[in-house]
Amino acid sequence: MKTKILKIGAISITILISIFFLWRFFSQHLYKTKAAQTRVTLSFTNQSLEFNQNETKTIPFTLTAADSAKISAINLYLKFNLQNKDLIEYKSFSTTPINYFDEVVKQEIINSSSYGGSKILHLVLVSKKRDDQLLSSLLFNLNFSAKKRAGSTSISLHASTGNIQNQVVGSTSGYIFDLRVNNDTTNITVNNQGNCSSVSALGSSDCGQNASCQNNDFCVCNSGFYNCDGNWENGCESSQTCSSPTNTPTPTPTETPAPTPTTPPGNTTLNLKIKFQGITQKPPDQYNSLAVKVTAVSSSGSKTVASGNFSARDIDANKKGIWEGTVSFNLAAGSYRLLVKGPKHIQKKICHSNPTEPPGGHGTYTCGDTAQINISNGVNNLDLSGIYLLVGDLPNQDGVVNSYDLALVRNNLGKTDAEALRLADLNLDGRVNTQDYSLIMAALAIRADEE
Amino acid sequence: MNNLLNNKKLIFFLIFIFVIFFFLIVKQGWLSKNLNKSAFDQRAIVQDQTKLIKEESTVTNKTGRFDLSFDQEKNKFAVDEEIGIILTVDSDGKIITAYDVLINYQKEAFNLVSSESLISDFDFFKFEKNNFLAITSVKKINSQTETVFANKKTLSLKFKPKKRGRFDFIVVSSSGKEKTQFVDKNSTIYYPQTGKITVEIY
Repeated sequence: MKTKILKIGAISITILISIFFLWRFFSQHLYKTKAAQTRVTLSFTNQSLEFNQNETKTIPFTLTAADSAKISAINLYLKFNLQNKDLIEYKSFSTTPINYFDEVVKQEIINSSSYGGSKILHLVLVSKKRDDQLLSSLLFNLNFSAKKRAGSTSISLHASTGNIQNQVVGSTSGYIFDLRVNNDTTNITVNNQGNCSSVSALGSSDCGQNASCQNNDFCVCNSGFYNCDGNWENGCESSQTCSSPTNTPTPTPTETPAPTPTTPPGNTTLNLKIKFQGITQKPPDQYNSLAVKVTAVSSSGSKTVASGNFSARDIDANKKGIWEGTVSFNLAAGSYRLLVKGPKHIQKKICHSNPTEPPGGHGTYTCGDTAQINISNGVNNLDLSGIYLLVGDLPNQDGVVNSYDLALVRNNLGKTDAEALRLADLNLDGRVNTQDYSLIMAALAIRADEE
Repeated sequence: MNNLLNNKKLIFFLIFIFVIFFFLIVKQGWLSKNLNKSAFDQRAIVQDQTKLIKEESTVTNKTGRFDLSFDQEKNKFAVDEEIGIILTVDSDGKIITAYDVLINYQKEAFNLVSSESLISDFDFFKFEKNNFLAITSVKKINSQTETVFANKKTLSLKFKPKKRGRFDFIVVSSSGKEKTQFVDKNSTIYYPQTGKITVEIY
């Protein structure tokens, strides 16, 4: 009897232990197999993107896991500048939701001999969030800037081979997903433009003959010369006014001696009137030229950037503080929103051809949801002087009014030297003073560029 | 005799079962090991890498330190009990004119009740963004003294918890265009090391 009880006990314990180990083994093994087969799809949002030279743009792509599986980490290799074409430069990345990945383990550019010479962006990002806070779909925005040369390139996922193994990881208890690619490439074109630096690698300006580089940004024809073919490599090749209207350089206002840049020829010209916060009268001639960046944003969200120098005209009672200038784009006729940014200013989004704001309500104009400006090919005259461009984002601009901008004004208070004025004289009165400080403090309320 | 035979059968049966167990355990261990061998199959492994890389970047790029701490000697609080958090800044000997700090916390778990500068000659401005609090602080315009922060308590924040759980308050280096940084009297920007604290709400 005793032996029987022992026997039954031993067999029962054995069966229980067996069940436990079998359950543990199969649950883990089978779960991992399932996880390894779950797909994550990488898809570039844009098939193609156009950059202007020196322009920074976002190249978005998405990662989407099937079966609502959660993404906790990525290890991706993205190739660009194939065939040794040094056209674009990686700047930074962001994700939506922002700060999804708590740790940037690696963010490096690798020079590779593959694809006839290329660069590889290697990103290793880890989210330490709890599993219930992880998501199955993420948007990545890669910020690239175009260099000062025209051409075509692309960005895509590098094939997994050898040491290069693209991986997307599930939640803590999960494993590597099966990574697939849907739209595998964004093709990139860098347009031929006149952007420049004062001193190129060869020791002179990038702008070619009979031209010079203005503010390290624009090529400007020397007086009496014209860039009729739009190519800055041969500079301003003509001493005759260009015959085609689209190639005609921007006329220099006769009232002001400030140099006016020849904007790159485009099929669409905007003659703009704008007002800058704090500048209530025409400044001395040496300060009477401000470089303004204008971005045309189409209904689909694509952006085209142009720049031009603006000058204040002689002041009369009706035109107090109004600055005029011209920018030129290659645009399809249609509806656009404009992003206008001055050299020490916060970017303003404008969706009306004659925007207004109440007296004293500087910076209160907003676009609304649907408004857009109709822009046609040829010359468009837009009077944006009913609103103010607010100061605040000082050189070198980063899109935010922050401690750097405040410190720049505070550290230069009382100074009148050229460098201090270039950086921190916001009202162009020839001295960095408490008025400038007041202006920058007020700008904190707006804080960031409108997009 | 019959008993002995039965016992032998039982012993063989048990040995057989244990051989299977042994096989399963070894196989399971081998499987786990292989899965873990991949440098990227589990977050824990990647996080170990993270620490290394973080230490490397700490050595090469960062100047000064922005840290968080509790104003009480505890990190466990009841729901509705006010939590005081202090920002401590070390400017690594630099004379500081202004700074920005981004503090990430879960907005659905906490209400920001108040914020206060602990340095009398610094103004500060706060901006509540989607998932973080951005604070910009600048030396007052009439202040004539030069300021070096050496583990200086600069800012006091009061939060009220809304729900239970473990939560982090993190000084994040950057988010979009915003950055944690400080600027010296020559308008040079420095990017500090950053810290975090974890609070348990019960």
